[in-house]
Amino acid sequence: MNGAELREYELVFALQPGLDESAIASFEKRVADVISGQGGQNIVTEPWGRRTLAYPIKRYYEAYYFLQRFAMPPSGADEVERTLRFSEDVVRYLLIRTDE
Amino acid sequence: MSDEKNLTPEMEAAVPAAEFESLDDEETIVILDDVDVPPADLSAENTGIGDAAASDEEGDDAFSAPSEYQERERGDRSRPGSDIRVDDINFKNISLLSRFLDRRGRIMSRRKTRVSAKVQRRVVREIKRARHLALLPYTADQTRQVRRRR
Repeated sequence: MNGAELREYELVFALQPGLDESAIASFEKRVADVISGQGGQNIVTEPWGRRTLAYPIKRYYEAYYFLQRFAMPPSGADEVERTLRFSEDVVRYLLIRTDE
Repeated sequence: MSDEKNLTPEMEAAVPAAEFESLDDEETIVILDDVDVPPADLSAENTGIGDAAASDEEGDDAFSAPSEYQERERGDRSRPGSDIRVDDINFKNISLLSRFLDRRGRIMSRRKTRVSAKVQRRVVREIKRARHLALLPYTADQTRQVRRRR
C-alpha cells in the first residue's frame, strides 16, 4: 500500500461459542477489513470450526477457531491486535510472523 | 530413523544413567509413572506414543527378544521425535506436539526426548503457543475438567 515492506503473518483467534452464524461471519469480516485497512494483502481464511478447548476459559468449553494468513506492513500489527483484544467475543488470539 | 541402529548401544548406556540421576530429586515419581502406565493414557488422550509400550523388561539379559524389536522399543520410548521434521513443528500440529507431553501434560525434558537442542527449542515454543490458544492443556487435569463437562 504505502510501499512499506510487507511481512507474512499468521493470525489465529477463537470466538466464544454462544455466537450465531451471522455474528461469527460479521466478526470474521471485520477482522479482515481491519487487516486490509492496514495495508494487508492476500488474506486467506481457514475456519477450523467449533473445537473443544483444552481447558475451560471463562466457563466456555468450546470455541470457534479461525486461522488467517496474510501479508501486511508491520505498522498494522498493533491495530489488528487491538481489534481482537478489545472484543469481548474473542476468547484467545495469536498473531505471529511466519517469515522469520 | 536411519541412524537409530547406530545409536542403540549408546542409548542402552544412557537410559539407566538417566534414571539413576533422577533418584535424588522429586522426579522419581514421574519416571515411575512413565514406566508403569504411559501407553494407555497417552494414546487415549492424543495421538500419543502408542507403542512406547512394553519396554519394561529393560536390562533383562536372560530374555532376549529379536533384535529388531529391542531396537524399535527403545527407540520409540526414548525418542518421541526421532522422525521429526523441523518444518512440521508448529502450534497447529497438535498430534506431533502432544508426543512431547507426559501424562500430566508437562513438556518432556530433553533428557527424555533426546532430540537436538534446535528441535527441542522449537517444540517448547510451539507447545506454549498452542497452550495459550487452548489447543493443548497446561496440565492434564484441565483436560479432564472439559471432558467431564461434556
